[in-house]
Amino acid sequence: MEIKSFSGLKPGQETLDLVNGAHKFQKWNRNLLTDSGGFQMVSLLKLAKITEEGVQFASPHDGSLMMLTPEHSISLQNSIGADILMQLDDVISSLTTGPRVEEAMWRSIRWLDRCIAAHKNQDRQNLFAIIQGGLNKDLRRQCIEEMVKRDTPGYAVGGLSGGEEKDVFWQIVSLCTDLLPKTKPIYCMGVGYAEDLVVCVALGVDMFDCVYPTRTARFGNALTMNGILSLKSGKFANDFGPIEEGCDCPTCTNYSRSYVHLVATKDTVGCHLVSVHNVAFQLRLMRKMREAIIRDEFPSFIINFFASYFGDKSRYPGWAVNALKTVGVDLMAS
Amino acid sequence: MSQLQFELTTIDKALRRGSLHFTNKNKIIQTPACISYTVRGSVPHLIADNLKSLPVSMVHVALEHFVEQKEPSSFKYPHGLHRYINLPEHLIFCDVRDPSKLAPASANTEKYVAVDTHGGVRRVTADLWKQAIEAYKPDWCATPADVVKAGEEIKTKRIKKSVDRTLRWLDDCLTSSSTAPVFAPVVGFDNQEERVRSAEEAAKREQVSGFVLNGFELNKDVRMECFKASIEQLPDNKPRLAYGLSTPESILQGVAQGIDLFDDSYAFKMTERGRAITFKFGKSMSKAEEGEKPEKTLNLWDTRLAQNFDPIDSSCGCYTCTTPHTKAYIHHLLNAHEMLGPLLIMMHNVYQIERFMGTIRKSIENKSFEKDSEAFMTKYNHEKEASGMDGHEDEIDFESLGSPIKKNRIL
Repeated sequence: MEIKSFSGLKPGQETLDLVNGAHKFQKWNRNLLTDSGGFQMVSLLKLAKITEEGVQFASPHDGSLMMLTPEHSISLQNSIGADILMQLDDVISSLTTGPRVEEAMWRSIRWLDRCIAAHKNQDRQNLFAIIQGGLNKDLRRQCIEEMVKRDTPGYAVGGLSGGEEKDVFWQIVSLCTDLLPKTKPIYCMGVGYAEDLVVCVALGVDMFDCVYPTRTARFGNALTMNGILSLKSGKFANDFGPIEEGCDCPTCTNYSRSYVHLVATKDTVGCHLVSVHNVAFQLRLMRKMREAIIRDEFPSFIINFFASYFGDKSRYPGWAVNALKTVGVDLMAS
Repeated sequence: MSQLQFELTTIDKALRRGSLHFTNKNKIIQTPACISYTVRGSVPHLIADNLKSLPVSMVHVALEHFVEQKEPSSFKYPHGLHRYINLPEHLIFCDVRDPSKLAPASANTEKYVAVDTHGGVRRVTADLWKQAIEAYKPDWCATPADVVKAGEEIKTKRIKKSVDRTLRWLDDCLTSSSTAPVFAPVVGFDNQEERVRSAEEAAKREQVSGFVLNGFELNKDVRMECFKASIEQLPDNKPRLAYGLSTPESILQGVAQGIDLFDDSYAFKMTERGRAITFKFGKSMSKAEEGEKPEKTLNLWDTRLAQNFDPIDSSCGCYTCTTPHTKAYIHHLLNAHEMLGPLLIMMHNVYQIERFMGTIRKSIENKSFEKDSEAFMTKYNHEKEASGMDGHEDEIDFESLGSPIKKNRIL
């Protein structure tokens, strides 16, 4: 489960220190991962300005100047106590061009070093580095070369999923997975839709996070292997089958599409029912991929997935077709 | 023999202790009891898996929540309401109106009760009711009542009409092919004679299994008196259900008057205000002390709870308190506007209402109900509970995310 450190604003570091971390606070005894707060900061706060020291911002409380440093981010993540922490990186929009991209890349390396130095719990919390470099392959190569020297427990591919062209997105992912050590987990942040997950796994990614499944659930949209169902639509009013035939989640086992349609977007129960299904879907998708990989049947899994999910070949996203070709899977072959 | 039998265990003046026997399902419900409030067939915030862990046996389903669709899909579902709303193990009571409030709607007519939905006004005729009940197959039900809302200017003529209509609809609905036991509504607004007439006439229909009184049609100051007028005409051996008596104080009053069944919408109302039920009754209630009277509920929006790492109530058996989730965590969830907050509070509140009814039953068995009620009224603060969210400003620990920069800092 991922916690955005920006959310550490609620309940606050002091509260988390008093109770000894988020696992105890939430009563969640499985794994937790925290993000550094940098991304939320830049995307949500006004007047956020990156300096060498850290991210300078105006306190939403009284407008006074504050600074989020790598040290502070790690301190907060140490208090939250998650099993995986992310470095504070100089995150820029994937659409940025020019010298700022290179500046951000080198700075991220320097901030990685500061994060490592500030990390108090090396023995029980795993700090991941985040590869930057925008959409520039040379910069990405340099970043990887440097960060790998720090030998962190895992590596994330950052700075993507920001609206860049998907055809560039996959090439950067592919480059990173080619160059990063095979014995460490690779984490693609902010990914994503079902087809993105399948393609990225094919390219060598191990871990993902995304708000999409639960957010879209709250709007009444259910993810299935046969595409996305917009359960708010009147066409489901009298559909008495489960959201997804064969799904063993509590919603599909016990409730009909008709009932979910009745409550979707009207009652929190509607949010819960679809969220439960969508989370189950994500877990099932990942599990099926793992099983197919172990059985050495992943290419046929991919071909079947795209066929069920999109239906017609004409609907297959072009970028996915291109990406999969590079790993020997031809989606368009008959 | 009706699928629903009622057995009186003890009776002391108006006060009663009994049991409802659902003979075809082999289930016995002790009374006085609460029927759990639902919206569109689900207890608010809770999916069936959440409800499983709560000691709830009966749920109330209001037809008005299902008729927004002009051709309700729930009528077309071939396996009955229990499966449609996924509560196959629960006993379902189906009535027309939402019991937590009497939402104003257009005027009723000779032929129908008007209900308001998101999609506009819908007309619940006796025929529609029959269609619903025959498709739903609830464990028991009530027929449509022409309830006039308190506060409106009501002439005697109108009151007489409401009694006549309600009886006519009752008789019509009793011709349904459904075998679900029927409760008859007793109306009459604040007119003594009409209340007596409504009750007498309803009682004459022998196949009726119980009676429903609606508190919303009456101003609070005359409610109990009006109920009394009706109840005196009702047979002892059939249960009485009342709406509009959801606060603990009014439940106690209702029990004293001979009401057997209530709805638990108080649990939902408190949840919506961010409040957790903490009051106790009878043996488990500690004596009143000097000083300020304690509240019956705890406001979880209160910032003073931000670092309180105790459960709401360590003696409570609900999922929330046995995990145990802490007040600090629930407070955080409310502050962060997360749906898990109301979910956890709702589970606790539903559990507590069930527990409250249990202590009432024990108190009647111990012959201490009157004494216990007095002690309850003396001990607690009875002011209406304000929403915990009023005047709340989201607490954001800005210091967590950075350090202040000194003014003349050179960067």
